[in-house]
Amino acid sequence: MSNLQGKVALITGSASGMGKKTALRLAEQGVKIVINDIVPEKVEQTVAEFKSNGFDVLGKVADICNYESVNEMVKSAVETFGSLDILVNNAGMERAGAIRNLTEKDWDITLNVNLKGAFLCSQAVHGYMVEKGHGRIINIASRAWLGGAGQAPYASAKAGLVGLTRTLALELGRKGVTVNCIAPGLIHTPMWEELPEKNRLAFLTKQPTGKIGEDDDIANAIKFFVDDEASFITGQVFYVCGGRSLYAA
Amino acid sequence: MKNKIALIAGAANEIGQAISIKFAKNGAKLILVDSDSQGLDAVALGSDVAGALLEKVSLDPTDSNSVKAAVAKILEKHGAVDILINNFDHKDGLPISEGTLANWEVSLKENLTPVISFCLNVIPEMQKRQYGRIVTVGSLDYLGVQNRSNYSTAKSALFGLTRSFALETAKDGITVNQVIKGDIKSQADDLSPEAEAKAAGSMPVQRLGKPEDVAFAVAYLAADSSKYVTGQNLIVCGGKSIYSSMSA
Repeated sequence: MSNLQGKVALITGSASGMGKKTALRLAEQGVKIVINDIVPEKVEQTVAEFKSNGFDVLGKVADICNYESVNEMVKSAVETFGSLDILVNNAGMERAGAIRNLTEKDWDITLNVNLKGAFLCSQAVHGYMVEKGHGRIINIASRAWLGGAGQAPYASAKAGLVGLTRTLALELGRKGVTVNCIAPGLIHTPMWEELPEKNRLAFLTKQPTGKIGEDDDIANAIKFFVDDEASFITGQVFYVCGGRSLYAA
Repeated sequence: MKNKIALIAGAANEIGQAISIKFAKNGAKLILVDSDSQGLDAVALGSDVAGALLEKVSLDPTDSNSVKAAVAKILEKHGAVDILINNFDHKDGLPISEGTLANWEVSLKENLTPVISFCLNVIPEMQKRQYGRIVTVGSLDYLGVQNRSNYSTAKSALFGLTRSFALETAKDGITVNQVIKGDIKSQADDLSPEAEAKAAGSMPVQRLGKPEDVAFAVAYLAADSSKYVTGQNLIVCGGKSIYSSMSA
């Protein structure tokens, strides 16, 4: 039996995509899941799907950039399931563009969702983890934190997550809580499908593997880091990117 | 890694044993290699996974001809090597004033040459079969450390080796990664309780590592499920690396 059996995980932005795949991978190991999104219909649908598969699941509609919503979500998760062992700060978004075209709003919303959201969620859950003497926090950054033309707000927010990861790892390490960062490279998503063929080919030529990854690859990495046996791994940035991080941009 | 054939080079020390046991539990078929034939004999996988062992091979890993011949024989006998683990570790602890060029040459020969030899002999076969997992166990000392300069230099070289081999084999279904160990408690160190408490106290997680901590990370990077991870260095150090630059 998996040592994840019976644990409780909150995964932000888990009503679709990579977050949902991660939720599924952990649910298969017997983890109780809190599905979160800002769009109520998406949460309802995903919760119904998980329930029909027999998984233990709670849906929470919450804006992760809002202190009250986050704390209400975490409180109700703990009331429902009795604890919170795993937090995956997965919710993210990007406003891309050259610096001359970006607005203050683009910057604020990108930093808020990717970075402030992760901070607020980590702050809200850490007390429960410290009390239990066990916890796992995973921040989903991006290979793009290394820098990418047209990605000023996104790269900055994701770089911020690296600093947050390393800092929380230092603060919480003595309490049995590990904090790590996964930096995905190109992943097969609906957004990828929508790109013009020419752009996709351009991306693929920069990909050492010649292929892009699947959301499964990220879910597998998360499952590795949240395992009890990963207790000596903390403060790390782990790239799941088919070797793309090895090249200069 | 169920039924995959894993060649574990450097299987006799504590970390090598932990890797062997973990892999056996995960269903791999094992070829255990080491220069220490007595140590190799003593590696016990446990009765529940006794069928996991294909063979034990004692050889001098610093001798490229021995490695070449052994790998050829293994391939002939078992048909494939799906997973190659490189786990070599040699420290002399000499400061600059006491080190000689000969010590440096020994360090490179013990820490680096075997990794190169095994990779050069195994990779072409993996390329033919379009599948492979290579994981090398490195050390956080690669970032630089007092009184272990030759060791640090050899471990630094593994960084470039891992990334270069990863890039060259990325399109062949092969991943090449490194697990970088931090301070792992070893019976050989024979630490006093006070010394251990002091060492543990300096770590963000307040404990020294165990060989099993390293083995768990090696097992992930050797599995099918990490197929989109290559050229990476996974640091298993209880957070010690955070104090250093060059660790993200």
